[in-house]
Amino acid sequence: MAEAAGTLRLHAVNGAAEAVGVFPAMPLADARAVFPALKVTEADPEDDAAALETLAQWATRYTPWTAVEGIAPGGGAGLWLDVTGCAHLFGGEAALARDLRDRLTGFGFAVRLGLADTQGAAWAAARFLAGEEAGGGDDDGDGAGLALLPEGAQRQLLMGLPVEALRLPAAVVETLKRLGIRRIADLAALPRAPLAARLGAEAARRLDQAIGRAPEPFTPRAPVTPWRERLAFAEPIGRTEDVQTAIAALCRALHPRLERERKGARRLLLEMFRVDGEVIRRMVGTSRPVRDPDALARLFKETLDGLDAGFGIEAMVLSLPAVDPLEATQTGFTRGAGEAPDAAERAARTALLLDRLRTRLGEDGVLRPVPRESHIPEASVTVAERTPGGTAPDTWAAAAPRPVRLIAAEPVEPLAEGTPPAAFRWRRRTWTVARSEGPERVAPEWWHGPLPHPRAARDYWRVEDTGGHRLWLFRGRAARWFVQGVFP
Amino acid sequence: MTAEHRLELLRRRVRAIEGTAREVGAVLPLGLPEVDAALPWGGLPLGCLHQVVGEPGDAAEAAAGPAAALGFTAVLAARLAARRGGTVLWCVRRGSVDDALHPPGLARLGLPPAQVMIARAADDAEVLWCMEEGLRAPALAAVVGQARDADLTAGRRLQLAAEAGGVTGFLLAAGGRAGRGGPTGSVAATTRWRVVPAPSAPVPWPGLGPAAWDVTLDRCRGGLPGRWKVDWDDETGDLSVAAALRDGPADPPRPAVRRLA
Repeated sequence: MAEAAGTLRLHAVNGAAEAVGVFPAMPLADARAVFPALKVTEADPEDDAAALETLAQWATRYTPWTAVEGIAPGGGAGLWLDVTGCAHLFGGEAALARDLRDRLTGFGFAVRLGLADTQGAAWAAARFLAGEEAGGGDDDGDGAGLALLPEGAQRQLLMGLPVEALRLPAAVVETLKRLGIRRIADLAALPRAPLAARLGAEAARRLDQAIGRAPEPFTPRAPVTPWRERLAFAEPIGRTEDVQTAIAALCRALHPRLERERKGARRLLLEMFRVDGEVIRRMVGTSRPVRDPDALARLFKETLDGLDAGFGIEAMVLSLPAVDPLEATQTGFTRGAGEAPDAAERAARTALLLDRLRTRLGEDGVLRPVPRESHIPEASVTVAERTPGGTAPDTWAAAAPRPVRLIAAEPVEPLAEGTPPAAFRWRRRTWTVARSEGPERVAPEWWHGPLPHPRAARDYWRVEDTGGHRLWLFRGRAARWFVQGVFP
Repeated sequence: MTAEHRLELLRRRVRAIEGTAREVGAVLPLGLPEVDAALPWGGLPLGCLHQVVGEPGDAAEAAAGPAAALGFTAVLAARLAARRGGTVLWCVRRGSVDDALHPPGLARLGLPPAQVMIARAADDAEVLWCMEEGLRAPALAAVVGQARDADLTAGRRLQLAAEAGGVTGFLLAAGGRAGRGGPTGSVAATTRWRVVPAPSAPVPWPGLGPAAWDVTLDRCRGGLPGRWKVDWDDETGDLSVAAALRDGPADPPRPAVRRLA
């Protein structure tokens, strides 16, 4: 039920309601009059759309090309699958259709499925030929809900259908009916030019598309990468070890083509199709192109912790949304532990390790420090780079000693006179200064413009206490002293 | 076959029986004859796990962290990085006192930050996991991990990983916590060092001379413990033994303030 133009109207009805004479778009009051015990719930188009989207994603277990047909009142919504070139994986088109129908029925959906050469014919077949009792008509109900049009047969079959089967706007259908054109055959028999002049190009275009005279491009819901491998299991798998074995197999299946086209994977998407229709997705990235199958498989190892396989995983798809050129052939990882690998191989292997750590620690979990041109100690480092090596290392060499541990400046409580104080309290301990060195003046960087908190010049001292501990002290505003670092 | 050669073969057999000298072969001499002599391998054996701890229960280390132990570890890792090439993986706990490494300070210790990757783990268990993964990757120069609680099992795992990957690991325990199997607890490492700061020698100019570390070789498979006062010159990056220390009280009397704290 949904509210439209101030009236509560039925949005969709189930088979039982249809049987007692209640139809979509009927005002609720009329429906109640027809059948007082009618059970109504609020329509939730967003929820419906989300469910359909989930279903479309699930359907990628059959083919990467899936799309959602928009939800419209009167049951216009649907799911598109382009199974061109995929059907043989499931034992033919009929077997695929039956499998799809049985699984969807298992999820609790009522299914009408049409298969044809063109989108228009499939749409019409699903809605007008695939009735509950129609179709193949086997005794065991094997054809229930299915309408599989043989190749090239759509023209003949469509002719007998009403014009509603052409995906036309309701207004056009209304006009056609007023003109006495009820079946598609009537429409096809009309001369083209007056038809277009009267009804617009839409009717002629839809007709041509349905019978295959005009092309209709298929728009999948997500861009599909050509780098894709699929693995289905005779028995659902659930153990993590089995999943890993399957991942390794998928990586090996992708390898020959990667090698042939000299590409390496940068991002990998693993989709695991559970028996109950859930799709588990795992995405991993690499910091450089990788094509070694073992290395790729290992990347997923950390993401499988706590994998909930439910009643089992029945199919897995590994795709590479991003690949990059990778010229050099990687040598095998079989070198003994004692032998020193060369620099390039070492860098590649280090990158792999870091990628693996990152899948567990997060993208910012493994970083390389990079120098920044600043005299302010806390601003002199940025940690951003993903891979080791790169910038010239000597940009680090500060002329003056720098602490090995830098902390946020913490005030100290001086206990004695002196510059720096001869004794002070810091972190609940008394530090007696035995020796000190300084000052080293760190001036504010006026060339960076006025700062939000204009900072004063700081005078830094290295102090050593009587126990040999070395700290980095500075004198801030109002002659207050702070600890900012620890020396080894 | 000379007598010397025969003696060497015999030594090797004894070591093999003791299980101390896997034929790692690779050894990193510290360049300190006194210390190298105390190690049965003539230097720091590679491809195994070493534990470096600060002074547990020391109030100063509790406040500032194990600075000297960190410095000692960094110097060793730096030498490995220079010799083997490759990256040093440094694993710390996110947000802990150890998560404040200052790369210019590491550069000062001879470890170029371009050769350092810092892994920031959520907890100690993850630090140990990172270390294990790193130790199994022969491409790395060394792995350093800072974990508070590492037990015998964790140490054994790391040791095996280091042997499998041929990478040298340093488990650097935070100072400042006494007993409880934490920093002082044995982790079955090949060597265990305790490194604490010592008062440095005065210099004839106003300022600070080389930093002084009180280095104790606590445990060493097939070797004898020892204790030395080692100077680290932050200008040249050199280590030098200032004096061999005997066990017992350290030579400078500890000031009263320190006991009060």
